[in-house]
Amino acid sequence: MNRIESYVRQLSSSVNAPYSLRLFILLIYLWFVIQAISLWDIRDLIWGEQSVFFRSARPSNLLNNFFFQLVYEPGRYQSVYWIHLISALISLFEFRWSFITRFAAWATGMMLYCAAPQAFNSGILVMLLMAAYSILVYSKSSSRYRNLITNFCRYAMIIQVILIYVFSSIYKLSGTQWLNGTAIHYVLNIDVFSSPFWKETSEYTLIWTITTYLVFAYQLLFPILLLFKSKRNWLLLVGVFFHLMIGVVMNLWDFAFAMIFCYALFMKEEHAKFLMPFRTLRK
Amino acid sequence: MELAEGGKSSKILVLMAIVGAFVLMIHFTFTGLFSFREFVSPSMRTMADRYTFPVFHQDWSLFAPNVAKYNSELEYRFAYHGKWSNWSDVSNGQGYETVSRMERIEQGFNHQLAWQATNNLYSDNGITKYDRIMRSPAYKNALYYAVRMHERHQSNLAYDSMQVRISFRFTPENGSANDVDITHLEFPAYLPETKH
Repeated sequence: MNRIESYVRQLSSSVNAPYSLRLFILLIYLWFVIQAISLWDIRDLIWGEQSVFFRSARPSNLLNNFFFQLVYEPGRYQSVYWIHLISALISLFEFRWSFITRFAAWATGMMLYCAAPQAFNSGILVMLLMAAYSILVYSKSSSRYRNLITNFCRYAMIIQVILIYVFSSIYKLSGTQWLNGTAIHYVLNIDVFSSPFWKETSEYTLIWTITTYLVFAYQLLFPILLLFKSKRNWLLLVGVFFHLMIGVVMNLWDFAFAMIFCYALFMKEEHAKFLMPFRTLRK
Repeated sequence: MELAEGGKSSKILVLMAIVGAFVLMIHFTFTGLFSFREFVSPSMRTMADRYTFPVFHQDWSLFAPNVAKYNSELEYRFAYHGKWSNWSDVSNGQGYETVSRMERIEQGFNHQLAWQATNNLYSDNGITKYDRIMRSPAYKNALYYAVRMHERHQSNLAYDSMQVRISFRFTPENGSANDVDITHLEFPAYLPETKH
């Protein structure tokens, strides 16, 4: 019991890694802002009364009726969109009542996603999960109770990132292409995830076979390599490179940046503090 | 008094920590069960679905377990007074680029339709049957998408029936010659004014 009390005392005395946590939360809501703006031109096609999506009913319960309301009342999407964008903008800054704007950004983000899931990929799922975990975070608190909650939320975020890599690796292990090195060859030949230039390069079999194995190995070993704190920066840099390539080659910028932003959680405090954009955010 | 309050506060914090650890354990157990729902019992699957969807929905199976070995395009044509138009890509045909969001939406529909074609296309007395596919949400979604895109971008072109097909262009095996194999799966025409 003494050990538990000692650990709890440490968790409640201060927020662990406050700068990397603050940077990560800023990036989450920055992601939502950029995503919302990028969908400006086609928002009516996705969510409006004349949306391209066939709307079908969901089983009726409290959660479904709330999060899927844009399916039944598409006329509300403009209000939901603007609440989402404005609350995400406000959530870039951390203050005592941030949980209100963060909850609003998350809930409206969920509504927009549930109304048009086919318009999105796993990138929004990552960010919505992280936004949910971030609601109760307050890295500037002096309250022991709030520090404890903040640290638990941070643990939830870290565990979730690790599980993304673990689950994805398990899925890949159950197939053949990632094991025989042909996966990226087939990706490069899917028009929506490639370009004529990259498709031409798919003929260089050896390079893409090696790349397939490297990517798979990185994904498999990520949770273990995280334990080596001295090498962590290199691990994160390799990950940033891989995910940037997902953006460059496959045009999946939303997913690429969602995963890159998650790496902020594992950054060294001095690096996170250096990257914080405004002096006020560093206080 | 202060010592007593500090002791009480510590006990509350320990209790909060234990509850928090328990909540995290339950949460990630359910999300794990949801992520591998096809491998758990129906009762566990129901519990995991109820907890995880939609609030903690997650899907980490992009390009896993395998990448599709084909390109697919959703194409449509429309008829007016018995005259059919040419086949046109639903997204590209309306000016959206291959890497645009609308094209990615179309690919999502194609993926679902391809699953339907694999699992629900059958023949009876030598005649190909589409009824199971056409009753599926995948077909309705794809057809609705084609209709909406046509009405939005080609509103000046009236139609009294529409037909969709999915084109598959198969990727040559790694290292083999670049022969391109294209096949189409045409669905029966959709007649908006006819009751089915």
